[in-house]
Amino acid sequence: MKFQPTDSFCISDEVLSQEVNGETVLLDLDGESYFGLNEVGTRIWQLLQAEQTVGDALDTLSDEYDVSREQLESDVGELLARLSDAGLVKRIAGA
Amino acid sequence: MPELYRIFDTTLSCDFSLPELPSATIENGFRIKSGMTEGAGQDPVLSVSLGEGDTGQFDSQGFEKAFEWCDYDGRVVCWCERQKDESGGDEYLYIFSRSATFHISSRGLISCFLHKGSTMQMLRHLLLNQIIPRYLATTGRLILHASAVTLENGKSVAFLGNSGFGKSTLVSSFHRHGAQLINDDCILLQYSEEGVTVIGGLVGIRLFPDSVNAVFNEAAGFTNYTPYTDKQQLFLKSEAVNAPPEPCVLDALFLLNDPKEESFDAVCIEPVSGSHAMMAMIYSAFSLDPSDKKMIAGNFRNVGQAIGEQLGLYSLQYPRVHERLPEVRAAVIDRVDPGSSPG
Repeated sequence: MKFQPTDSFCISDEVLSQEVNGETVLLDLDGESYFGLNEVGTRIWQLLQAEQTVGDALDTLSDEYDVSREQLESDVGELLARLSDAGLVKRIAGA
Repeated sequence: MPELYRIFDTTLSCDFSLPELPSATIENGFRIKSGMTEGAGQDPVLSVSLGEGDTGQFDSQGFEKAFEWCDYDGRVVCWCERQKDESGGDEYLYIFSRSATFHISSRGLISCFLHKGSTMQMLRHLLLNQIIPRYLATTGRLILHASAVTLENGKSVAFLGNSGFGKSTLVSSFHRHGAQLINDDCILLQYSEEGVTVIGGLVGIRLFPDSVNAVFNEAAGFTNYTPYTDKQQLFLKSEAVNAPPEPCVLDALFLLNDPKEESFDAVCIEPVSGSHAMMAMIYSAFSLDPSDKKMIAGNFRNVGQAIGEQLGLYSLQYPRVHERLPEVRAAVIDRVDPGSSPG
């Protein structure tokens, strides 16, 4: 998914999230479906919840994980695309 | 005069006899013994009555069909109708066409109507194993379709799985070899800082005849009670009277494999992730109305809270052969208390 560093993502009001033993389960009350996030997905979700811009989130993740920036952008983009497609988050274009 | 009974952590009044449940009268010391915090004068949470005649005499005007419950083979077991009551809450009709109809108000009043050709035993079975757990789920309680026992080493374990996965046979086998049965079909989970506690509803075991013969040496005490399955039922009455349900800490939860999907030659126990266990638990959680978002959200939160670091989460795969049950028991005991199993 393409995004600008100033973009942020807003979590749908119909989505509940619950952390269990380092992972996260998402419940979409609208579609009545469940999604599981692994440890890295959980960290990205936490940053989305904190309403960070994508750029800030990537900076934070770069500090925390020993992965190239390119790989990180690709992983985050893939997760955001899946979350957007499922209607769990909406992209808010940055100024 | 209605009798008072205990089911899970709840008191209910019922105007017909429920021999499956321990009574909750002050005379037998139950209230004191179980350390209940409810005052003696407090109204019971649930009130059950037997309506006169069958549904023909129940005025279902205003109710609209809401959903159907099917068994795992896709057969409709029950259909449900719903309407708003005077207080703005939802009231439900649960109609089991061959057996009974239940009217459930939002305030915990349940009226039962026995259908022609059915039996009170069947009505009580549906009331205690379906209607009451589903109603209690609307009050924020987390009730799972699972069986549980307290092992001789004091550890309590629960087994999660659909009907036909072997829950009853497994806990019967444990019970036969010294474990205390918590419940064979549905359990209430509660959580606190100390961990998750489990409490059973009624102390009964329902088994298919081959399991009865394999697990118990004789079929004494079992009676056939339902036209839907050949399962037989045994109520452990002496335990029910002497040991009304008490919450105990749950040490481990085992997710049983689907024997129809894949069969296994060996007993295998593996840790499962919290998210995997959470999905399985949500799937097994009782609800009164599957479209009630408040309840779905409540079960979701409750399950998430119940899964903590103290609760062991495992998958359990094993051959469904009665002769192999000792091996399964030994593997479960060894997992929760390594080195203690005699096998």
